[in-house]
Amino acid sequence: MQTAATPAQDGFVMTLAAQPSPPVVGDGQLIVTLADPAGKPVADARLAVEGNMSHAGMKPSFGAVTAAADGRYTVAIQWTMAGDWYVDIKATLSDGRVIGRRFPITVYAR
Amino acid sequence: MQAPLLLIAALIIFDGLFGPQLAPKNLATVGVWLHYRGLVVLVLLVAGNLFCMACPFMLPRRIGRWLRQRLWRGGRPVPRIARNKWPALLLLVLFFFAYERFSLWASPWLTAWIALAYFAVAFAVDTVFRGAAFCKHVCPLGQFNFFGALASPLEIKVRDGAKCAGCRTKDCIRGAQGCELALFQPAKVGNMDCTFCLDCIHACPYDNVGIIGRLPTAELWRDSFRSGIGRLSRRPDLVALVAVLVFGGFINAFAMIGPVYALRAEIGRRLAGPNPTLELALIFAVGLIVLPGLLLTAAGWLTRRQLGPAAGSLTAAIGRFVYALAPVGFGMWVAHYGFHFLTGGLTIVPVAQSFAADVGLYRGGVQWGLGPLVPGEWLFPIEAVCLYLGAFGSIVAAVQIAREQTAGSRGHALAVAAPWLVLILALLVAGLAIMVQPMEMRGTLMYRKP
Repeated sequence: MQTAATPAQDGFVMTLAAQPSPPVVGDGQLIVTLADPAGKPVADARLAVEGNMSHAGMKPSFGAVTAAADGRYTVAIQWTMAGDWYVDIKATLSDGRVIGRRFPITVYAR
Repeated sequence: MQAPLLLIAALIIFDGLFGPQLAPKNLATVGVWLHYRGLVVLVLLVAGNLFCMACPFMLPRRIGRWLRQRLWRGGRPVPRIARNKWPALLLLVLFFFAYERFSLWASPWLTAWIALAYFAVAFAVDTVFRGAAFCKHVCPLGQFNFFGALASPLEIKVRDGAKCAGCRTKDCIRGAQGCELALFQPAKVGNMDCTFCLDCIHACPYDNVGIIGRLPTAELWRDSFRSGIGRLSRRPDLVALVAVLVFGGFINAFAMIGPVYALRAEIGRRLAGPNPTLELALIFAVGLIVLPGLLLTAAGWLTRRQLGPAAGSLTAAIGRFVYALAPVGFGMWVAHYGFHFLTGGLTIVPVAQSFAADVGLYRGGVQWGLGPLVPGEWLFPIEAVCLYLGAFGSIVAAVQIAREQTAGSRGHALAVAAPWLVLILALLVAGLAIMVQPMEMRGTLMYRKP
């Protein structure tokens, strides 16, 4: 399941896919791809990934990049509760620019 | 106590309007939907209606009262048609619906506007009408507190009735600080309509009114005349309010678990396409009107059969026994709101740190790792205890009400109470079935399960 982020003016294209799909409570993975406005994969970005539920009262889950190649990043994350989440991804490029996107994602009970 | 809550309300509104629009990171959503609700039910359970006592909306009410007395010679009485709980009940149902339909828990902005609207309505109502019109007839939060306080261990009441018999001045009702809600202390029974404002305590020249401990729910056992209220059983508005709050507790929690989404999807399919408004309207109509109506009618009819000619009308039987359901209904609210509070009680720390950092008052690290107050495996046992306690209180109340109705015979009393005992146990099982399922917080994204 791939989710779409809010469109942005910067021209970069970021996609997010969850594994397993659909995501379920527990340990999960996110596959993030990032391409520049010309469509070229961005391979050397530093990613900060944070998942928050849509409601108050759950602490955020922070993702950790476990593999990165050719603009494709694998991120480990823990889904602590079923429900609606927002995944915020900030990619810091080698020139210091920060590309940010928010992805809505639904996590299901096991 | 009102000043600190007023300050907190101001911060909540500010952050809700101008802060981060992500519910777990905003004071408005965390403060209102997690801490306010959680603390309200816990304080009602262990003490009494202290949140009405500390109500931040008292300030606009006081300004309204001041204007009313100066500009409109004391203001107008509440119109007879509205001198009941129907306006508050209507607002309460609208709020329950809006909470689900517009995912209020997920919107700091809407949460802030609700608080602002509350201040505005409190001010407007009490500027025009006298007699604590807002608290008594309009405020949905207050009605919830009155309902929960039926099970509270504290009550404001007279210490020595004999002293009141000799009192000529009746300051507790007539004095400058006399009860705005028309509760005359010597004839006041229980916590219904009492905002714990302490005016009567301050007004009594004999120091004969105080906050006094009592047996929780015992006020439900007798249907005596209550000052400012009348008999509970003869107030259809109060009967409806209690029924809606009892069943509303279950519907509100049901809306947070997986099956509701399957049900909504099924309704959507039968309606030829998703229609969130209609789906929720149907669920609320069934859960708050049709199902309670059928269950209460069936229980009342069976009780009436057992009581025989002395039973009175069907509505009288329902009106007398429906209050026995209040403890189990309140138990469900405590279990549900307690769950949220216990799973995220500590999130207020990083949210407050983040807010302080945003306004330049804090430069340290934000402890986003803080969250639950208790280990996850404790949650269901705690929820279950809340439900068991509520069901126990309801069972005792139903039997006591039946004993009052049957004038002594225990066997007959049990037979009279039996339909209500079955209903209470059914509600207990329903509550456990809801709570044993993983709580899911969806609705904002409106995804359908694949």
